[in-house]
Amino acid sequence: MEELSFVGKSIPRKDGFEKATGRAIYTVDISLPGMLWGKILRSPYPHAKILNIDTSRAEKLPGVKAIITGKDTLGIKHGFVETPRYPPDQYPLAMDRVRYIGEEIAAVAAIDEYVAEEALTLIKVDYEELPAVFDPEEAMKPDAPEIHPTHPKVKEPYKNIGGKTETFWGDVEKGFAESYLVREDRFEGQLRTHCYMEPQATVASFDYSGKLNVWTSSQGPFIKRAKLATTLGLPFNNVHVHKTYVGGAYGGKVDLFSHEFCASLLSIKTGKPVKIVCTRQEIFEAYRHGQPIIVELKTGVKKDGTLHAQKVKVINNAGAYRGSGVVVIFLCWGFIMLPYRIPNLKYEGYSVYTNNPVRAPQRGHGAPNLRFAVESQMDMIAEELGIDPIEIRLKNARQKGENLPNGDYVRNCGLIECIEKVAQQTLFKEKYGKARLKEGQRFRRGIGIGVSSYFSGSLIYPNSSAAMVKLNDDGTVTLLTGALDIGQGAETILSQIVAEELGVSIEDIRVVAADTETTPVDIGSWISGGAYVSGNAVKMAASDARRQLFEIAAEELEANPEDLVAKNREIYVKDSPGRSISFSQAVSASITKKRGNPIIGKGHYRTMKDVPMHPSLATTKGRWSDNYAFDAQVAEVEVDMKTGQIKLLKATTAHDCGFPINPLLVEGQIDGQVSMAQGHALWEEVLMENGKTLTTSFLDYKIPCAKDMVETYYIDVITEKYEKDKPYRTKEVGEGYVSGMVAAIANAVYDATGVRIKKLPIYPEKILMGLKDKKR
Amino acid sequence: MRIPKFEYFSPSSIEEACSLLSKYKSEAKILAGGTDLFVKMKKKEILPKYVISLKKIKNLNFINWDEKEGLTIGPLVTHNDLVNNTIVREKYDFLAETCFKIGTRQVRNMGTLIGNLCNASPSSDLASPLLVLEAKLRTVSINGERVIPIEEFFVAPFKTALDPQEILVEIQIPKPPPSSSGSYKYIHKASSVGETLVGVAIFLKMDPQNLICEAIRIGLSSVAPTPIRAHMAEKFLIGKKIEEKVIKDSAEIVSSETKPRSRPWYRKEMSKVLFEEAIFSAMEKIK
Amino acid sequence: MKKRLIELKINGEYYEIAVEPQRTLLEVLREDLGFTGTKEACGTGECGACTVLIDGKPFLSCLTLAIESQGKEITTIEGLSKGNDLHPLQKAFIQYGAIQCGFCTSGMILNAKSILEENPKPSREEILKGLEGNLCRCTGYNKILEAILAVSEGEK
Repeated sequence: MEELSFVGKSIPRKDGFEKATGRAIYTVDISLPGMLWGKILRSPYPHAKILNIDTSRAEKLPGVKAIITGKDTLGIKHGFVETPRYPPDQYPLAMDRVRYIGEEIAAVAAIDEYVAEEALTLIKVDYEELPAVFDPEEAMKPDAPEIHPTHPKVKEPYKNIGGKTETFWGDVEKGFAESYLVREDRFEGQLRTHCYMEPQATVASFDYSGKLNVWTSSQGPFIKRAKLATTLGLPFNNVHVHKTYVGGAYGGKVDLFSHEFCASLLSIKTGKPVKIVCTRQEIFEAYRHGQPIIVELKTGVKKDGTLHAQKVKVINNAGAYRGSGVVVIFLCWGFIMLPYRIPNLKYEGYSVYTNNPVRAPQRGHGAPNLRFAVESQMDMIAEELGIDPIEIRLKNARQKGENLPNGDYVRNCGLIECIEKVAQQTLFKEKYGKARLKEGQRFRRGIGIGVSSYFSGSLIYPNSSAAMVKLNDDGTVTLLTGALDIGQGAETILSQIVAEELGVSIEDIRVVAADTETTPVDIGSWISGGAYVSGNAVKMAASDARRQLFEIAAEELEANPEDLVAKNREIYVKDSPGRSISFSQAVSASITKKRGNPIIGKGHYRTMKDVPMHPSLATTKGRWSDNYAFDAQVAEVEVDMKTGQIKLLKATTAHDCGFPINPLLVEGQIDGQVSMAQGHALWEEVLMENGKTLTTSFLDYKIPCAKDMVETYYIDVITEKYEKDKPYRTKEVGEGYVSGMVAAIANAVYDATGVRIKKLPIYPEKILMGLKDKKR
Repeated sequence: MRIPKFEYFSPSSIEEACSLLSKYKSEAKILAGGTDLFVKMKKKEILPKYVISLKKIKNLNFINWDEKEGLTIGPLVTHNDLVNNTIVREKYDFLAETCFKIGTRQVRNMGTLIGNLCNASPSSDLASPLLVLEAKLRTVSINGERVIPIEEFFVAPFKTALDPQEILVEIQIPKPPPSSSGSYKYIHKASSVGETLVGVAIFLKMDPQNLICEAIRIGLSSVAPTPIRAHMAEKFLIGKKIEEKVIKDSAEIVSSETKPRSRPWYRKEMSKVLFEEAIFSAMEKIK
Repeated sequence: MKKRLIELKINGEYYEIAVEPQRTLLEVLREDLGFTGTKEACGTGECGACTVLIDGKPFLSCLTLAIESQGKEITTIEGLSKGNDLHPLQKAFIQYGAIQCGFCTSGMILNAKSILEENPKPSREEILKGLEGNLCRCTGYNKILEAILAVSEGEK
């Protein structure tokens, strides 16, 4: 294999300088001349009819420049998913009904936030309260209040079904009858939230040429453009979503938010820029948190631990609108069928409307809760059979070359190697099971394993990623890509690819990214396709640029293009370095001799070239991805048996990510996900009561701080390679490592204490109560 | 998040501050560090029209030690000032340790001990050590001055015995007798920072030879509407030899004196565990 | 409310500005003086993103009044570098991968600077305890610790 100079190297991130010096501009930092400030009026009721909205008093307040309500909009709905079966169901501003506490009813633009806030108090809304329901299983009952009376097409014996996914293969009842051991368990994952450090914020400025300029903290500008343009009735090319740095997102900034729409419409109305920045309290109370799911799992195994049949029911508490709920119940099927072979399966997923704020994807989008359920049960089964947790997983782990039930093909898979290596490095078998022998010891250590798998890039709107690589007269390079860096390092790895393909240094590349007017479309940083899909588009563009360079260089040097090599902005003949021209000379020659061709390389990519659409969310039929990442993670915990408090001491991640384009950045992703898993398993929960959020600050909702830092270890399992001039497959690293770790922590806690937790997070009192129950 | 508008005064003497308070009464609030006041104002929990800052008044950040009277602490003394003060570390080590535990590095530079007490959070970590040290709080107003024993200071969650016109200007902590020590043990609500779930402070005077308890004071944070003393447990322990059974029995009594509203079972259990840890720690220091 | 004319010394230079009493140092830095490097992630003192150094000590600028910040040396992240010359902590953060989304970075670096100035060779525990008030959701703090240890061990 040829030596790579940039890809595969731990190069410091390209935007490090701006971020370390405070010069990086995030949406919250933007200020424009004449800018107004906006604030949103939110519903205090979880379910009510809006009888009347009177803004007259507010309009008279000095300093108020515009007020909008539902009647000022085009009444066009939007949704995370927009398909015939799941049409959009949410208005940007409520029209005749509110369905959750915090739902947006009106927006004000004023000279400053004080005036805007005061104006909100002067808007008079008459409500007629309606009965509300908050628990998904309650909402499914026949006597539950109907949250969406004009119901979309999902017909079910249950009420308030926003979406349903159902699929099966084999014969699951026969499978159970044939099984040696059958277990049935119920697991619950809690409501948790992203806690991105940069708040939700948008600046909108409608200019004199009829163009709407938008800066917004997001996960991809093209989705925002599409939804803003549609709801505002503007052509796509008149909505310009600019690039900004993003202070974290993790799934919470994907689809259209009311404040983005409102800032835009207020700007159109006032002719001035409008800025809306949400407070942290608003974010906790009214914004999208992660999807909480209930998993009912019935599993049958053979005597040696081989999985034989599995029946899965997932219930997702979607909130008052569909949000990404219909996707998470589809994904949960995927997260079930990926890591292990299951000959007989029946899967049912329900996404249920409740009068809670809408939920969104959160790093793993269902996988953390799903894998927590499956991996916990695997350990329980293993214990009943007298097999150890490593053996049972090795028996069932997918391997390279397997056909998946939906028709996808596992081209490569390092899962077995991941499991073996992580067990080996952590001395799993020596440590497992020892803690429970130490009666009377106050601090007990436990070890646990969790396995997970994640898709890498899938078809979802906008379906393509494209890129352009421009050569400049002096031989420097400009990369145009729609990909957005939300902290994961997109611009850096894409530069590494260009540097590798073109033979320039990282410093020679200027990245212009994530601008809907000037950069080509990109799928966005929320579908786990950054390295694979955007990367391939960029690779193709760089390769195309190189081909054009070599074509003209070959003429100039009287050589064959195949004999040329590019390095340090020079093109020379292999084994004859004296025969060379600079990039600059090549560009000049191309312009003079190729009728003005300045050398612009183009590339585009999507997963699964022959498949037109994303698989059916309802039936799971259809090809999903051509790339799957796998991992096995081990957690080592220490439990204080007197207080029930748990410390995560060590986290080891063995991952098949294909190959890492930038190992330093991959390590950073693993560290961050281990930290999120720690919070998810041990402390984080958004508490709600009758639709009202009780945890409204970082004081109430505890995310890990520096003192909670975990010792992390990484094991790379390389299953792909990078070759010039060929599309490559590498896998995602941004989402899949939360789920295995959450499961591993729960299993480790069981190993230390003998207490099995089926509902996260693991509050210390659950341990103490569990110990009390065991004593009886 | 913005602080709601207010009119600002920075008097140059306590007397001036008092007369401003008497003029504006409950429409005014005193500003020391600001870490509690501004958070509450931003959340619109309180909305004073007038804010009276103490920052221009000289000599308010004193930590004075007197061989007979003990320690006096002024209203602008920050948590960090106490952490770094050699007398406090020497004579009241558990108080200095608690000040190091509070908040975060930044908050410890800004927040004041007196401000923390005036905030009167039920989960205040500083309240319990001061309760067991039997601190006294001196206040002034245009009507004169008075001294409030700390046990009478906390009236309800976030409510003190201060009159709206009074300013708390000094904490007086008596000199610890020989053969005594203090300890404060706690657990957090979650992870390793943030609000305390349960805190137990102990002040113990014990004969190091025969382990007889000569004086004991037990302070509890975050297990009742205000920080409290566990008087029944204290009465039980006086005069007894502090050994395992006595400790276990006292722990039960301590737990019975708690009145936690949320997570009650766990808080009651933890008050026992922490009491035992605190008393062991105090005993070790005396030996 | 009447505005007051104040003079703030920021990164060694004097700035004169008229502000209302309730304006925080954070707002004035970001909105009036263009120092957008200091960030607000919570506004209520829990996240540390608004950390600035006042006379070398870390303070939360979101809970500090601008009118009470006169007569002090205020250091923001912008004051740590001169043109392309970076402070060793800035270089180390970049080198060791301690930056992802970057939103917590300014506050984190300034706090770390004050920790190292107090104690040039802190232990791991001392560093992590010192950083407990700076929340980061991206990095898990691992590489942040590595970067700070590298500087304390003499890396420039």
